[in-house]
Amino acid sequence: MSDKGTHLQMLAMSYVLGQTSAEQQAEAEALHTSDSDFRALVSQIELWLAPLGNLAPEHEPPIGLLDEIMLSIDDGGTVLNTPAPRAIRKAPTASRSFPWRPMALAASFIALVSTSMHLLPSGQTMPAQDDLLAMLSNGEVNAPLVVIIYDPVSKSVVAHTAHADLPIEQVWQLWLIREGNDAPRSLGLLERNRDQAGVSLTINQNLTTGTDTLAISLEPQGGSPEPGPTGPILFTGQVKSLGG
Amino acid sequence: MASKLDDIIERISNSDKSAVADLYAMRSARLYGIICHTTADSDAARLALHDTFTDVWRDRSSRKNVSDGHEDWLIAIAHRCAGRYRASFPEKSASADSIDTAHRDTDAVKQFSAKYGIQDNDLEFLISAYFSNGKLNRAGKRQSEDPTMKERLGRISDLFGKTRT
Repeated sequence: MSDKGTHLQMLAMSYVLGQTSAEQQAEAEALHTSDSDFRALVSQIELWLAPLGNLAPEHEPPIGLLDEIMLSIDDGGTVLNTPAPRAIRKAPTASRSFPWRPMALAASFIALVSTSMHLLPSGQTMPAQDDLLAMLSNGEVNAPLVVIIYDPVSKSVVAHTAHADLPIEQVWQLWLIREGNDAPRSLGLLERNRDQAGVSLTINQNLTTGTDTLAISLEPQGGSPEPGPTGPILFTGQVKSLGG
Repeated sequence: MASKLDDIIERISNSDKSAVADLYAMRSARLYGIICHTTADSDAARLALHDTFTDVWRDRSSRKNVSDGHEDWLIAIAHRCAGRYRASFPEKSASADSIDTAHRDTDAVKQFSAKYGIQDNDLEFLISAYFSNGKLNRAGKRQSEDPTMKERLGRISDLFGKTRT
C-alpha cells in the first residue's frame, strides 16, 4: 500500500475510534465530506470493528423513544428529523425534552408551511419557485418560528421571524447540517439589517433540498469560538423547494 | 434459512415502516447497551439510539438483496451515532472500564481477535478506544497522542489493511 493509502487508513481508523487530534479530525471530516473512497473506507472499518459491540451488555432503552422514532419516519419513506450536529454541546439549562430536535408531528409541520407565507412583509416580492425555503422551529405549537428563504442565484438568505426576536447581547449563528457530513458548517451570523424588516446574509455555500437542514444556535458576540455550535440550538428546519 | 432478523431487515429494505418497530423490539436493548457504554450521558444515549433507528431507515436501500452481516451493520450504525455525540457531552464520556472483563471472552470477540491475529495488548487497547470513543486519558491526551498507543493503532490499522488486500 502506498504511503498515502497507509495514511488514509490510519486516519480513518483513528476517526472511527475517536482518537484523532484536532488537526486529524478536521482532515478526516473534510475527506468524509468530499471523498467517497474515504467514506467507504470508514464504513468498512466500522463494520470490521462491529464484533466488539458484542462486549456491551444489553440496556433497556428509554420509555417512549420508539414513538418518537416512528414519528420521525414519515409514510413517504423519508426521515423528517435530522441527525443532531456532532459538536453540539448540551446547554447548561437544556431541558431533557431535546428542544432542538424537530420532533414536531407532520401535521404541525404542514401548518407551519401555510403560516410562513404570511410572514413576508407587505410589498416584498414573493420568492421565485426555484428559491429554497427552510422553516426553523423548536418543534412546539405556536412556538417562535424563523422562515429562511434562499436565493440560489445570489446565494443569499433572508430570514423572517415570528414570535422571536434576535438577542441583544448574543448572536444567532446559522449552521448547515448536511447528510453525509459529520459536523455542522457555519453559514454565518444572522444580524438584522437596519433598513429591512428581515435578516439577510450572503452565504458561500449552495443549499440543496433532500440533504440539507439549517439550524440556528445562540452564540456569544462574534459567533461560536469553536468549529461547531457551543450554545443551545434554538431552531432547526429542513431545506425545501418553494416550487414543491 | 433466513432468521427473524433477516426477515425484518428485508422488510425495512423494502420500505416497510412497521418493520422498524419490530427491529426496535428485537434489537434496541442490545444497541442501547453499546451506546450507553460509549457515551455515558443518558441524554446523549437517547439521542444516539433515536439516530440509530432513523439512520437504519435512511440507509435501508443499502441492505437490498443483502443476506448477511445485518448484526454488524446495526452495531456499526449504533457506534457511529454514539460517536456523533461524543463532543456534545465530553464530561460524561463512557469508559471501557465499565465493560466487565468477563464479557471480553464472548465468542464474537474471540473469533475477531483470532481471525485477524490481534495480540492481547492491542485488543485491550482496541476495546478501550472503541468504547471510550475519544475520551481523554488521565494525562489529558487522546490515546493516539501517546506513542505506545499510536503504535498499537498503527498495528491494528495494518491488520485491517490486510483484510482488504
